[in-house]
Amino acid sequence: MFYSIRHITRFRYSNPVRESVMELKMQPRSEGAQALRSFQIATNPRAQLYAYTDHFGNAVYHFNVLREHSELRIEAQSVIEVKEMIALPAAVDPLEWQRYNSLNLKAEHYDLMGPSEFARSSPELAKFAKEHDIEKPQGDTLTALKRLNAAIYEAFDYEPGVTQVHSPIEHALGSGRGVCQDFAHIMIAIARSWGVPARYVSGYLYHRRQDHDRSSEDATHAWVETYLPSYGWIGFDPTNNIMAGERHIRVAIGRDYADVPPTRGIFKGDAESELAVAVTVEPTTAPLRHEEFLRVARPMPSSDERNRPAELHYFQQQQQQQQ
Amino acid sequence: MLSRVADNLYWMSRYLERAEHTGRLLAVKLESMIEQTPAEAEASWSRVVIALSGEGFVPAATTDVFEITRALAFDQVNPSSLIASLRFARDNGRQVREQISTEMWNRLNRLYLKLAPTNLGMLWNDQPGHIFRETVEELHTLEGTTYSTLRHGEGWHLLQLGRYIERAQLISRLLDLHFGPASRSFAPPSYLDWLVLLRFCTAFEAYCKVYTANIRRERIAEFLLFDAEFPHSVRFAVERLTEALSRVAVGAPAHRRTACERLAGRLKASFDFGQIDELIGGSLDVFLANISAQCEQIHNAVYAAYIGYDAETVL
Amino acid sequence: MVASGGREALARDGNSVPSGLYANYTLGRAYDEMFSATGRVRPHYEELHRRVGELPPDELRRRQQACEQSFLHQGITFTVYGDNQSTERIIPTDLLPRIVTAAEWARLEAGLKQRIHALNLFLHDIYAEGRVLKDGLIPRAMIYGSKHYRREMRGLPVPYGAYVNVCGTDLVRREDGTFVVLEDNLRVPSGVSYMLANRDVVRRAFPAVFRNAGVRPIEHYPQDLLATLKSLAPSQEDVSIVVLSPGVFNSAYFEHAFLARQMGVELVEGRDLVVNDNVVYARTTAGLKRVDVVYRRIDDDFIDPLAFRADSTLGIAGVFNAYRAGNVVIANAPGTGVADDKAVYAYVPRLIRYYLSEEPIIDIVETFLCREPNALSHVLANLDSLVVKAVGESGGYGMLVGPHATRNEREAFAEKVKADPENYIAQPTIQLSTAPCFIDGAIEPRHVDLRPFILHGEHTTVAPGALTRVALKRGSLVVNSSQGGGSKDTWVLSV
Repeated sequence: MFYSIRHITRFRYSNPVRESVMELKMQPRSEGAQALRSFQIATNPRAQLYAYTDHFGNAVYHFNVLREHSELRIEAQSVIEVKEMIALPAAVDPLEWQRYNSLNLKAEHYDLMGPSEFARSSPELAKFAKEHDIEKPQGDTLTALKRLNAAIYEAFDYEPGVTQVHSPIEHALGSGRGVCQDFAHIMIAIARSWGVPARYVSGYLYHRRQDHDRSSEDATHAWVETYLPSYGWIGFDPTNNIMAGERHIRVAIGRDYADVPPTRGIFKGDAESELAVAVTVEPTTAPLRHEEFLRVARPMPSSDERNRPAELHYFQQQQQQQQ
Repeated sequence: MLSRVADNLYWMSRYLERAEHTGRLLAVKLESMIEQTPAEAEASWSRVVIALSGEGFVPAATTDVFEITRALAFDQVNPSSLIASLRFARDNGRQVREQISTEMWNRLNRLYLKLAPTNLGMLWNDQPGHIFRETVEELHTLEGTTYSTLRHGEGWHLLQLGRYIERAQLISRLLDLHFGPASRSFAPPSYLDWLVLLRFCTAFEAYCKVYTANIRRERIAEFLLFDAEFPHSVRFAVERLTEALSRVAVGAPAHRRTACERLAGRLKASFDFGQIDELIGGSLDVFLANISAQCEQIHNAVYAAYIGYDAETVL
Repeated sequence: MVASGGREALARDGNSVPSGLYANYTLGRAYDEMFSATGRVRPHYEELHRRVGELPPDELRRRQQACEQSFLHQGITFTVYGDNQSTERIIPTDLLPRIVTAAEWARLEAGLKQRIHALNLFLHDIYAEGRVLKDGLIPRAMIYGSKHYRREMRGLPVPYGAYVNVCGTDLVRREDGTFVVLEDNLRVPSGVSYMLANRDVVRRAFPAVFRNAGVRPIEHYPQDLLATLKSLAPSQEDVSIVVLSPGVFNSAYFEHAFLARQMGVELVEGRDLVVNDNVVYARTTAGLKRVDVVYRRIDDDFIDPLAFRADSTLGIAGVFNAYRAGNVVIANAPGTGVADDKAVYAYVPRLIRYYLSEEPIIDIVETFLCREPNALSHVLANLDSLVVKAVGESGGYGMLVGPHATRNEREAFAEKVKADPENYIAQPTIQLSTAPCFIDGAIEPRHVDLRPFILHGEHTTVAPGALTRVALKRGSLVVNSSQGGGSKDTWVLSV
């Protein structure tokens, strides 16, 4: 099936600013079950767009606006195709836990197994894990992760405005409320403490009434992917207590939010900036246009991607090479 | 030349000119008090205070000469004081230490460090004007050092531009206080006041060479406005700043240069054809006000063209 | 009166016999640059020794003062932080040159070139395939966990694979007379301006000795630096190079300005530059001028508020993306700090063998990595004889010199190490070699090190000289200028 996504970002400045530079991580990823069919970005004021691929394989666009402006508007439109996903078994082999002992696995996923800026341990996190009986995984890997997913869902209320974009997890832990970003960070931190490589996914969720999703419809969404040696990367959405599936549209992956903000910019001027975001995700029967989206240059393979087969995803059910 | 460096050089020079002017006014005023009654002195000090009060300084309502002098010379909080001007000059100079010669920096630095801790009270009873004389002399030496040690490239011309824009504005302000609208708040200047005005501009001897010792109001205005050869006349300053402007940002796009040069050219032209007798009778007020306004326009144009321009407008 | 010291044997155990200039010159365990263990003057120091002996008593003092005046006049100062305020100080220059023989230098030069080649290959490797990590030569955690490792550099092509373009390597001479590497400085090494300024004054202090000795010239360093930087530009026509400085209040500002002036290039601060459409420009009175090479004297963290620390006011927003696109060169490349990490230091001999299949020409000091449990217990048990350093610090801070510390200081430091062992390494104390210095009217030995400078672009050049740093306090082993050290001119003989 196809989705058409429209993501509008608008910055308003209290005084005119100039010489602004901005990076965007808005191009949906094209791998596994998800294929990008078209993508375009328009900015106002108009600017020349440049692009590169970062070390997580995310497409990053950037541009600058020299002249004075009081508002900056970015509109990204994409069409993606999602193929049918093969169902996972209800549980996996208990021996899956042993497979994390592989030195190669630890080497390859090093960055996703240790602490990162937002997803890291702390006394508050340890206390939280203990209180909710998720200090140690219980059962096989998949079952334990599902349990973790549910535990976080149940432990928190979804409430925007309590935490901010740069809030450490302690804010959510302390108040019992937060948004998808906080829940994802907490789940990642705990999964990593179990020795499971975990990464942050930013993207979109297609909302349908019948799903009763807690997350906001008119916004970007964040969830988690964890690595199972026999199945690849499996996605969990602790905000909505579901597995990541056909309604989840993947845009960027990283260690945590710091690696994947949809926009990041610098400007000159004595002004406060106010951000407004609007997202619409609609199913569509066919791509609106077959457009050449901007070709993104690929750098040399990073050390984490050497010799490695195409991105493993549970959709493909491939065994990772054992070396 | 980097815009930031141009900015620092330009302002360093403006502040040095301002410091010299302030020092000289104070020196002359203090020396001339010997020839005045206390009442006369008080009255004429008011003019000096106005002449030296810039933005951001509200002179205290005092007639105590010591207090006035202290505020105008050594008050670090007063942004127009002598010591503040030197401090700003030094700060700007330090930022562009690499663009000025070592000799220049050393002189400026030493002058500030020597003057900053001055205790005016201790000097007051014995030739208080002396310290200001010394400062002015030191600034003259600095000017000479600059002339001799700095390559006469864009940097040097920026220094000239700053100096002469400042001078044109300072002298025309003094003239305004004696001839123009601002002079109406005071009693008409006495004979001594005219002498003092000439001395403010180091013009007494030069004036006498041109007009003999016949001190006449119209001739003083003519001399300080229109004399093409006397360094402290407004005309002289306008001509020098015009020339300096033509030697700055030589590689800049033509339309930017024209914008600045046109303004300077217009100002210069008003001096080429100005006649003092016409002005004295009628429009001297307007003429003096225009000088200051046009200098400010030139300053803004220079900034917009070469220093603070919007990066996007140059591509 | 002629000073009589030197010709007579200076006894090993400290019983000094002679009077005069060398009355206080006691030899200890350390190798002395001028005197052999038996007190004889080494051949390459004979002329200097003789000349110094011939000078009238106050002449040396006069020349030393002239030295200091010259520095004062030129404003060659260093800002010292941490004294409750920052003050500008003249770095004391001792006028007696430190002399290195041609043979010794030949070995050092070869060793330094070997080292920088290996380090650049290492950097290329860890920012690309990571073979050295796969092959288990270095723990991945040490590299990926280093705060200087920049993931943004992964896969980025760097001209000639030269990540480090300017390197300052600190060497010391052990008791047995051999030189060993103490530390590499691969990020923003400084001191070359003092090397040049020292040569200038000392050559005038001892003109005849200088002429006769056949000292290799170093005045062309700025030209060599310019050529190195220029070689990195993609097109060799009309290359625009700038020196990027944090500004006048930076402790090394004098050097930034000095090098810019000597190379004839513009000295800029971050606010003078702007990136438009992925190209870097400088704001000049004549409009925006394109910049091709940025010789940056700013830490990685502050180079670009878009790519790195957002609160940096010293950098240029978007410059890293321009670098990524190949539109500007940044020298030294970001991310080199992972290779001058004090812990990685211990692995460098292995890296030389791994990448070059050669034996290291210059040794390193034996190093204990506290992250290894055996090493940690050894270190904690022997704090009184070891120098312990925090991996992240530089400038001589975060360091314990065991033999010179009090019991309390050692215990306090031990707690720090136990709390964070991965952050500490330890080395046995080395008696740095001593060199004659003019102190309070007499000549006395003081500990010195040696910092040569290596340039690496299309070609590799080792400047035939160095900054010799001196620990001016008697017995002190700390040579850093930020902690009160001084420096000397270094004469590398051509024959």
